[in-house]
Amino acid sequence: MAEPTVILGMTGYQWALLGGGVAAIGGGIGSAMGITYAAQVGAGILTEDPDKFGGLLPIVAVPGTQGIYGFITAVLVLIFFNLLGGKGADIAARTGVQIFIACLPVAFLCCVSAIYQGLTSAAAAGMVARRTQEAGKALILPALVETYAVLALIVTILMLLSIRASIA
Amino acid sequence: MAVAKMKKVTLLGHCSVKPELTRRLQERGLIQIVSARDEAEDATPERLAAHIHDLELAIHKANFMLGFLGGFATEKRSFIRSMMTPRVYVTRAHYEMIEGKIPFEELYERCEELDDELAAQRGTRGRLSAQAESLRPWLDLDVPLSAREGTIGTALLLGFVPAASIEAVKAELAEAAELADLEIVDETGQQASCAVIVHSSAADEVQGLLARFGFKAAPIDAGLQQRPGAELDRIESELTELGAREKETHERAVKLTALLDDILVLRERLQDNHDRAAVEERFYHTDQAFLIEGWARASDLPAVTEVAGELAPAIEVAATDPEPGDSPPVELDNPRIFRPFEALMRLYGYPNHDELDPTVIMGPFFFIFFGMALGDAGYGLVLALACWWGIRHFDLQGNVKNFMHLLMYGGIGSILVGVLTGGYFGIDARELPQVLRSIMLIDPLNQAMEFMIIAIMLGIVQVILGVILEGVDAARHGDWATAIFDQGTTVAMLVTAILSFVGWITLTVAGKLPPALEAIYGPALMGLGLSAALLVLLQGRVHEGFGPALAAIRGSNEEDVAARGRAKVLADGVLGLGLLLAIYAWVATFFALGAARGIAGQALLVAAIAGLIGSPIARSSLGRVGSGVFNLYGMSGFIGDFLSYARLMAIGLATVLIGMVINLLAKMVFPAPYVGLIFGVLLLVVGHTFNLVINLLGAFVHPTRLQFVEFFSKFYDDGGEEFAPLAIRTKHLIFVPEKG
Repeated sequence: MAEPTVILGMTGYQWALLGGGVAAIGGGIGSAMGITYAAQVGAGILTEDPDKFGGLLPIVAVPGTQGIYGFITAVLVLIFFNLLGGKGADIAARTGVQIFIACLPVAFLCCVSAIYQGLTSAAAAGMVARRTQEAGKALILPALVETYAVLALIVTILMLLSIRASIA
Repeated sequence: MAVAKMKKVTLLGHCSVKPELTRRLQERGLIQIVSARDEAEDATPERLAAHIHDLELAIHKANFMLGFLGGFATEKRSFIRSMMTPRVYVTRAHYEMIEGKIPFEELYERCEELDDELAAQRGTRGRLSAQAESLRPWLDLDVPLSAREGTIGTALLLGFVPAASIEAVKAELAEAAELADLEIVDETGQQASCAVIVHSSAADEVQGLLARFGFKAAPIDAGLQQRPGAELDRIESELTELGAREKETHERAVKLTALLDDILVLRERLQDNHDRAAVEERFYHTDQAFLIEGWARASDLPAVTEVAGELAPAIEVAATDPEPGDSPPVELDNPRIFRPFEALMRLYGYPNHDELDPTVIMGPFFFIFFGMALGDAGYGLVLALACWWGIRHFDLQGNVKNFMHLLMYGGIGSILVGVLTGGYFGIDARELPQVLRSIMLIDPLNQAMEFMIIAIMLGIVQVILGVILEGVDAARHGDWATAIFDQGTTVAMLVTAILSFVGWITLTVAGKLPPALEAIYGPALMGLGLSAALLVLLQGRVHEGFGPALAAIRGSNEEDVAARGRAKVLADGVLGLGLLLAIYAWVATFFALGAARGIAGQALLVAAIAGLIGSPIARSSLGRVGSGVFNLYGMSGFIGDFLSYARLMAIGLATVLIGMVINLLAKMVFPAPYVGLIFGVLLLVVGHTFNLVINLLGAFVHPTRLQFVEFFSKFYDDGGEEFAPLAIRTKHLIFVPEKG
């Protein structure tokens, strides 16, 4: 059976770009939404008491990590498969689709978990408003949500590694 | 590793030395006084209540002054400093004499006067500005405003009509009323200002007509009588004059800000006095004597005795150990090097007074995990230096200082991990100098799987350590049965399960086992079967084990004996002991047999399981076997705990990858003519700073979570109340030695 050069009208190079892009997009959207929720509550609290800035900033920033995971995934695709080195055209269509699939855990999970982490952060920010000295504890709760984004990143990285190993 | 030992201290003394005693105790911070007196028992002495009230009032006044004068402070503070609590360096003598050094009441009155003056000036400015604003559309009106009062025959109406309908108004007015005249003063804006003169007889009619077109009367103060232009000139000169007065008041307030530091010192002094009085309020007392009950560190007892001795013979001290029902406050007592990790304990909640303090065990794990999560020697160095500099430069104190030390440790951990993984500001491992590459153990980017396995292995060690700690804790409280039957079987099960899994996965992937693994694979499998069986039997146990049996022999467990019969208790004990010996014999057999995994070993396994199932304990446990099976199922939770540590790999990789991208971008910028160098360097500095800050968040939060969720959940009981002795508590003052 001949190796297809194009799958669903896209070359391997295009599939790989789509995978990396989707991961970055998913993580970015989720983080933007998540931070918005948290920052809105944070801004309200800062209006009343600007001194809480230091305690609030990490809590508001926590949903931002998913965007970074998406970004990392995209970069990994570019580095692992030497797209930056101009070797994109060498990627078989089948490998491209595999790369795309490997990117999906991050694309979905980082998007969804960041949004929910934003909601949790917003609630935790409320906790800081009432009890500033508990800012540390308030930071741990949203971090529990992030676990699943991290797991998705691990799965994606391992999948990308195995794909790279299979074409090496 | 320890929770500091506490002693219950009782001080009985004569009332004459009470103030002196509390003052000395506060200065040295020795005793946390327990609220001993029942509120309803007797009221606070009249004198003390009045004293507390006076102090509260004075603190309130001082706070007002700090807030008021603080608004005028001209001293420039950097962004970081402005986020920190203001601090004053003060000598102990100055602090103690502060009440006499500033004329507090007089100063307060001056502040109040200034505040009133400023409020009045603000009011005046507001009124004048509003008047000026209301006059602006009428500057072309060449009639004194007093004309608004009208004459006998005419009335003057000043107001606004929408500019669009001005012509219609004019036309209609000319038609309807001959005795009215409308003059447009200003029609530059949306609203045209117009003056209407009308004969008294037609006034009502004209007003009705104007109202239909949305006429609004001009909001000019009735007190303004001159021509608008003249009035405006007067108001403006008044405003200028007011400005000068405001400036003068402001300057007087600014002058007072020189005293801000002293007022802050005084406020802290008053607060300390108040704390002391509030504590005194809780003493037991009679007309002549008082009684203090409280907690002191056992190591502080000589100091307490010394303080009391200075006031002898009017004071008597007694110290006892905590009784079973007591819950003394908790202070952690760790070697200096581990103290920064106490910040994490404070974050989670101090241990119960009866609990182990895991700081020393947790510390090294946090150190390594933080290092793995940041995973870059360059960033680690920057972080450690930044924290060190921050502590020195801002002279940080207390919890903040401790936390910065913790981050500094994290930085050092990152240097260590960074060196071992070849992480230096995200530079590609292949481009590193040979000497750095030679000390690299692992390349996390290309050996991500290996890196992850290392993380999980560290996690396994930590989690099993947590289970062991729970067993140690149970044993410490004399509950050996729980330690051996519950934690013992859990640890045995975990260890054998992990070894079996490693063997199985190696066999599946590689097809054959290395000799070392081959030797333990068989025993591990058999051990797994045995420990699973034991776990089901023992963790669902109904018997009480040999502890109560020993107690029955000693005769100290009569209730239990009466309830269940002596023979049964003793039988339970013998069986428990027998079972324990059987486990040890089992383990010993495997060590003796070494790598034996043939028919003999397997037969032994079958025999043991059959024996266990046939044994009386096992049979009596069968009714509860469901609970044992449930515990066995619960073991699957450990899988999640172990895998959770894989996050360290992902987060560590995140730092490396973003660093690499920044370097890559800089590399693209550098060749650009002229500006390439500048932009490239800028990109590197800003980019790496950003990467460090963002990943710092993850590098702190995730290792912390691993301690709290995966490790602490295995053994830790919080709920300890932090030891808070009566002491001079100040966030704002730093005491310095006397000069000269």
